[in-house]
Amino acid sequence: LILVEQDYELLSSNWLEILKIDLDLKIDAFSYWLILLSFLMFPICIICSWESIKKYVPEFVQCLLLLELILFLVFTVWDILLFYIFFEAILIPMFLIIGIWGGRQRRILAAYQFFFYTLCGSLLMLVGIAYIYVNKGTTSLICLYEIGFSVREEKWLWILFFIPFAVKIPMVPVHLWLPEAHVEAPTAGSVLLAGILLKVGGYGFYRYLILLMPEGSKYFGPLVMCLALLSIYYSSLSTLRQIDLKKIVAYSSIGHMNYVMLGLFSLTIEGLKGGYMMMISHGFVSPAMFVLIGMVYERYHSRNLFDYGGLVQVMPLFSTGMTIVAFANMGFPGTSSFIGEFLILIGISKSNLVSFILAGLGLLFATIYNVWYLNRLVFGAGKNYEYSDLTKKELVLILYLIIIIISLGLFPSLILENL
Amino acid sequence: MWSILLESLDLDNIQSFISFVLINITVLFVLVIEKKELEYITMVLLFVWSNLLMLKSSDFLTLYLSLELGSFVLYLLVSSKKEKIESTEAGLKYFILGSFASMIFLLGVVLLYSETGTVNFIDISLLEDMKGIRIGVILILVGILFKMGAAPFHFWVPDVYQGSEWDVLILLGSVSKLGMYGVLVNISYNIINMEFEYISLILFVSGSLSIVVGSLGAFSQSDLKRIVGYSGVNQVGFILLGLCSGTGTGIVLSSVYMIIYSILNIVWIVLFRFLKMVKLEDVNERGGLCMVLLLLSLAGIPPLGGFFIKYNILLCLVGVEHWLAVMMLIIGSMVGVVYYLRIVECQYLTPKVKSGRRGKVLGGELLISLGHILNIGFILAQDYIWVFIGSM
Repeated sequence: LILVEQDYELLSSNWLEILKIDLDLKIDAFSYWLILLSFLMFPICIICSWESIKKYVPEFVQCLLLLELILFLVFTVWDILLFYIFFEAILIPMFLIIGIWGGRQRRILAAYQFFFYTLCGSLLMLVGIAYIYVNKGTTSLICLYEIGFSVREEKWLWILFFIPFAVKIPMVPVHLWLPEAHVEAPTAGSVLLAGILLKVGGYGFYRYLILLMPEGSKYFGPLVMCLALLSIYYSSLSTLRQIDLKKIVAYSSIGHMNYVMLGLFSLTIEGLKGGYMMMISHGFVSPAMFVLIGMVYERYHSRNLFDYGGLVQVMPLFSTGMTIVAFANMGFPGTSSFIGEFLILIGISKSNLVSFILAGLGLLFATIYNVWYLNRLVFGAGKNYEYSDLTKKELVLILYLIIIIISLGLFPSLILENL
Repeated sequence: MWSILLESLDLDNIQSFISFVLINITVLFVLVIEKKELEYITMVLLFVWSNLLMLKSSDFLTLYLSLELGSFVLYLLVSSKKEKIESTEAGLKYFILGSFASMIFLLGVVLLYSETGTVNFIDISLLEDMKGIRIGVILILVGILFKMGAAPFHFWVPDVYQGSEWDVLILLGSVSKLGMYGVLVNISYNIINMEFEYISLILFVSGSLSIVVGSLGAFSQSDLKRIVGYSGVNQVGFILLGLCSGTGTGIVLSSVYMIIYSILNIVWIVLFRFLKMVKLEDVNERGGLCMVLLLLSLAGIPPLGGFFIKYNILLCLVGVEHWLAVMMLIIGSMVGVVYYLRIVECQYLTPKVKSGRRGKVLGGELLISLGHILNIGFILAQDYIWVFIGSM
């Protein structure tokens, strides 16, 4: 980890001289684990779709690799325009992944929803970028950190930049695309969406709102807190009423990502570290859940919760994995989510007491829905009688994720020491 | 190397540069043309020549004559598919409406002459008071906007496009628009330089309407040629918004837009012709990811060439703080993406009836690869084009 002791410069060159863009690639402590996360996730995507993807296989791999390149660039560029470009470019492969390899006919609607929610949000950010370029003469992040904005400018720009990231996170009024996209996407698509694409939003919040516009973030902080708490309660209560397995994970993702927002916008160092830890942890936990759900779906071809029951009798290894991952999802001590939630709560308690109490109560819901669906799925009267436990490949896949989750829970300093 | 070559040419103004691009596009066009008959090629060359004349003319009368020459050739070309009744219909429609527009243009010239006693560009540009020639100029602009296919003078576009062959669409969509664009810049910036406000207003209204009409009109179409037509209306809207900013940068950026768009347009049309697609249902996976990227480039999704040209226009509109136009541009690029995505949807997302075996997927075909390289390469090439036009 000597790599992240200082900002590590990968590449720097004059690229578009007219737009004064430097292709400046840098890794710092904040982007380091996000890049690592995205690189660890792509092998999982390819392995878990080994059997399920049957048509257009070359195109599928092309899309995945294109996405990997784009994500690497998103996390390393230090230029607002280039960030926007790669942020938007994610849409192209992801639209195709949801639209072509998704499950049902509804996938087309889901793909369109995903595309347009993101596009409409980010075009507002483009106006902000154009304003910055015209008035400040540069879009380079390092220069902009130096120059800064006036308070009035910051407030306007903050709103323009807030909307695309809020869509990406997603926060409550603009979250509708996420459950749709998760349900219709193939397993690999869900893994990528939950694992990395949501984190792009969190990364953007940190890098472009909190660091670049501190005054605006302070001014609008209560708004974000409010929206995040609303999202947490809304999504937790929605999760309790879902019967589609993938929708359960999708709504719980919304809840967890909004805890990240609470942490980041508490504007304290503990909250920031907690938010970051939570992002990385969620980036391993929710892909693990999608991979597991993909495995039962391949066997029984149903995502309806009521079609399942007593899986522990026919799939013991799967049930063990599912239990560990569900406990990680509810933030059990010893898993990585616990550290994140704990630090976030410390952070909020320093900045806002009411939010602290509400967020603490919100954690209770996470426990309720995790126990609820775990009970329905794994325990209870058996409905599926054929013995078909995990194959070796699937076991390795899930062990890989569980080992990372637990080791990050036991040694959180791997992530937190350089932050 | 290219910049040295370009610098050695004597291209002193925007008209000359557009002529240069026009000739290059013609060479490209003659290479890909399907009908290699003498009359056909002669007519195409005559059309391009008339466009060059139009760009080089120095009074309104010459301008009108060369415009008419080009239009006549185009009427013939549109109706050249004798066995199809749609082609004849398109030719007739274009002839009637086109001559009506030419008449309005001529009326504008007459009004201008009766007010000032001259039709020479330089004489008019030296006028002290330009209030008297307002109506004449507006009529002239109407004629030009009609030929460019900008709303609210776009009604001929879908029908005429549907009746013509793909080859003629290249002339209608790229060559003719380039020529008209050159004339429009010349008239609104060089000749009528005193009262830019109301010209700017006309350009803004027409541009916004074009964006709205172009993107909404293409929604319910199932014919690819009609979609190409509406897409053209939409893209002209962005160019007009760039021009209405009224700055030197605005001209440069709109010119970059125009040039890159016309080449993307050619690649699009040639692709459809090559894959023998007529209706939306005919679109299949033979286009490959190559076609997906081309369509998304036209829609303006980064990191493709089409995004950068739209971003340029946005930059210059934010620069002059024309927030209404910025809003139109943002809404237009949101809505306009839909119908390009519909083609992608037909290509990959909806399963085909006979999906048992796959046809040959488009890959190494020379021209389409070339276009594709250009499409990606515009990210870099626009730098050079911009420097070049900016240095004039």
